[in-house]
Order: sequence, then C-alpha cells, then structure tokens
Amino acid sequence: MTLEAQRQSVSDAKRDGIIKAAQALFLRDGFAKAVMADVARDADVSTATLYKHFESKEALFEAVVRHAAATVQDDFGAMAPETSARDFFFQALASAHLVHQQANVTALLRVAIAEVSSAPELARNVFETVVCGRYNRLQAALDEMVRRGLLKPHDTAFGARIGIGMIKELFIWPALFVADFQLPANALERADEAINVYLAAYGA
Amino acid sequence: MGLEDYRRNVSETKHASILKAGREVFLRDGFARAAVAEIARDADVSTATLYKHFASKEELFAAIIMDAVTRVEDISDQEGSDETFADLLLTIGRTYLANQFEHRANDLMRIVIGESSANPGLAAETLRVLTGRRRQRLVTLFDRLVERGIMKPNDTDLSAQLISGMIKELFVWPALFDSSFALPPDTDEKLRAIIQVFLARYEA
Repeated sequence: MTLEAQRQSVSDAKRDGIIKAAQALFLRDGFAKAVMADVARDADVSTATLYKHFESKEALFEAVVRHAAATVQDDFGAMAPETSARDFFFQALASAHLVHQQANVTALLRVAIAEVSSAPELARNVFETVVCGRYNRLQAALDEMVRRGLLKPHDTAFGARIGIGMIKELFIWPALFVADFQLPANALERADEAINVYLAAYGA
Repeated sequence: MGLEDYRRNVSETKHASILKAGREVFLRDGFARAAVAEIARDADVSTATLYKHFASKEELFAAIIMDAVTRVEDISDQEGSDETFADLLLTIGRTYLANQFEHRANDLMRIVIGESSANPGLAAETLRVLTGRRRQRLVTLFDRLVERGIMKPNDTDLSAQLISGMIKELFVWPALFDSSFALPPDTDEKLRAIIQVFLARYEA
C-alpha cells in the first residue's frame, strides 16, 4: 500500500467512525442537544479531525442520514421488471419492508422533524435527499414499466408519491410516533392491497 | 340559569381557555420547554384550576391534539344520499386538509414526533387518537357504503388507511419537514386524482 493509499484508508476509517458515533448521539440526544466534542470523543478523534471531515453539525447530520439511507436497499431502478408490474411491486414492497426494519432511518427522520423550527434548512435538506431521492428512483422504475407496456401511460411523478404514501401509512407512519412499533404479522399481506389499488388504476 | 348550570358554564369556559392558551404555548415553546404555570397565567386561571381540568402536561397536550383533530371527524357522518362517492370523498379530503393546515395540526404533530423518545406515552396516545378515532369514522362510513352497494365489499380498515396514506404523502408529509409548506393551488385537482385511483379499485 502506498503512503497515499494508507492515508486515505486511515481517513476513511476515521470518517466511518465519526458517522457511527454521531448517529448514536443524534439518536440519543436529538440534533440540538448533541455535542460535537462528544462525537469526537466517542469516535476517538480530535475535534480538529472531526471538523476537517465535517465543517458543521448540520453537515455531519446530513452525512449520517445519507449514510443510513444508503444502507437501505431500495434501488428500484435496478429491480428491472421483466415480466409484470406486479412482480416489480412485490420486490419494491419487500424493500420498503426492509426500510422499516432499518429503523434508524425513521428515527433519524424523527430527529430532523423535531428540529424544523430551530433548524429549518436541516429538515428541508433531509427531505430533499432522502424522501425526494426515493420518489425519483421509484418514478424512474415506473417510467421504465410504462415504456415496456407493463403499465398504462400515467403521471408517474404523482404515481410514485401515492404509491409510497400507501406503504408509508402502513409501515412508517406509526413508527414515527412509536419508536418500538412492531409491524403486524400480516403487514406484507396488507400491503399487497396497495399494489392492487395501483394496478386497478394504472395496470396495462 | 341554576347555580349548577352557572358553575358548569364557568368550568367549560375555563376548560376552553386553558386549551387555547396551552395550544399557543406548546406551538411556541414545544412540549418539553412549555411551562404549565405560564399556560395557567395566559388562560387566567390558577395552576390548581388547570390541574383540576388536566392532571398533567401530557394530558393537557393530548386534549389539545384531540381538540385539533376532532373538528374534522364529524364530516364522515355527513353522508348526503344525493352526493356521489367521488364527491363525498372530495369533501372528506378537503375537510381533513383544511383542519390539518388551518388548525396547525401539522405543527402539533411535529412536536409530538420530536417528543416521542423522551415521552413515548404522549406519542402513542396521539397516534391512537389520530389513527384510532379518526380512521374509525372513515371505516364506519365505508362500511355503510358497502352495505348500500356503492362501494365494493373490501377490508374497509385497510382501504381507509390507503386513501389516508395517499393524501398524507402529498400534503402532510412535506409539511412535517417544512413549516412554511402551504397547500398548493392544484390541491383539489390532486385530491380528485387520488380519488380516481381509489375508485378504480373500490367503486361498485
């Protein structure tokens, strides 16, 4: 390993450590009360190193949210629908189910929502990256299915939102209020009905 | 007016002014920072009187949420026989949104969500009020529409959730992340589009 590569590797490891420590602190203390010095201590780095990686607490929080969101497998675009729109929706549903189980994302959204009046930009950025990012990925998959004739031509931007809305009502909305919310055993079965609604309106 | 009536009247007036003052203080300071003594002062009652009406800050907050969301509930009972299913749903959707935005229910909800780890009881109670009570009205209405042959037989608890989810995604979810979010000019158009999707599956 060259010196340059080694430095990079140390730097990446520190960055990962910072994100991990920050996530735990934000989840425990919320955004306003979380202290940068504590993050540095828990990550075993100096505050100077911490600020070299993240110039502000806001930037750090956004990185934590992006990191948590990236670990969720909802790359709808990659779920290439070959046979039917229903097959795609089944896969997308399973990934939404996973999003719920990846409870940290919901918990971080909760932290951002709590901060809307004191740090409005923070919540808006989280909405843009996490929420709108997911709309766009689903919309791209819907467009692809329209192209393949698996769905009728329709307003897919609108479709992505209401589709996610139906699933969110079942999986995410209650978890926003109740941190240890447990999905009912038949959650996926119930969510199938959302697919039926979508296909009744837009199925080819 | 008998003495008994007079007393009740005074008590109800005080109850209402406590709710009103509490609402202002909670919206301004959030739950944790809101001071019960200040609410009592703003409502022009003693703290003893306040605690006679509401045993705790949690109970007062829950009553305020209840007050904000119950204004809309009665609408589901207004089942004009000459109205079409689509018109009926449009009325319900409009009323729900008007309530959510005009009565600052979104702002109150954000407070609860922010408070959910520090105060899980409050959040769970709010969720119960919001979903349990409000949804039950819609389910009752849907059940009657099924009986009258206007709506296809279906799991009405589930269909009520799905239509709520679609509406919330477009209008309430963005408002949770941005307190300046206002209902867009094409709200009615969007509501009609949601209703069309819903009817494709459920209209008899």
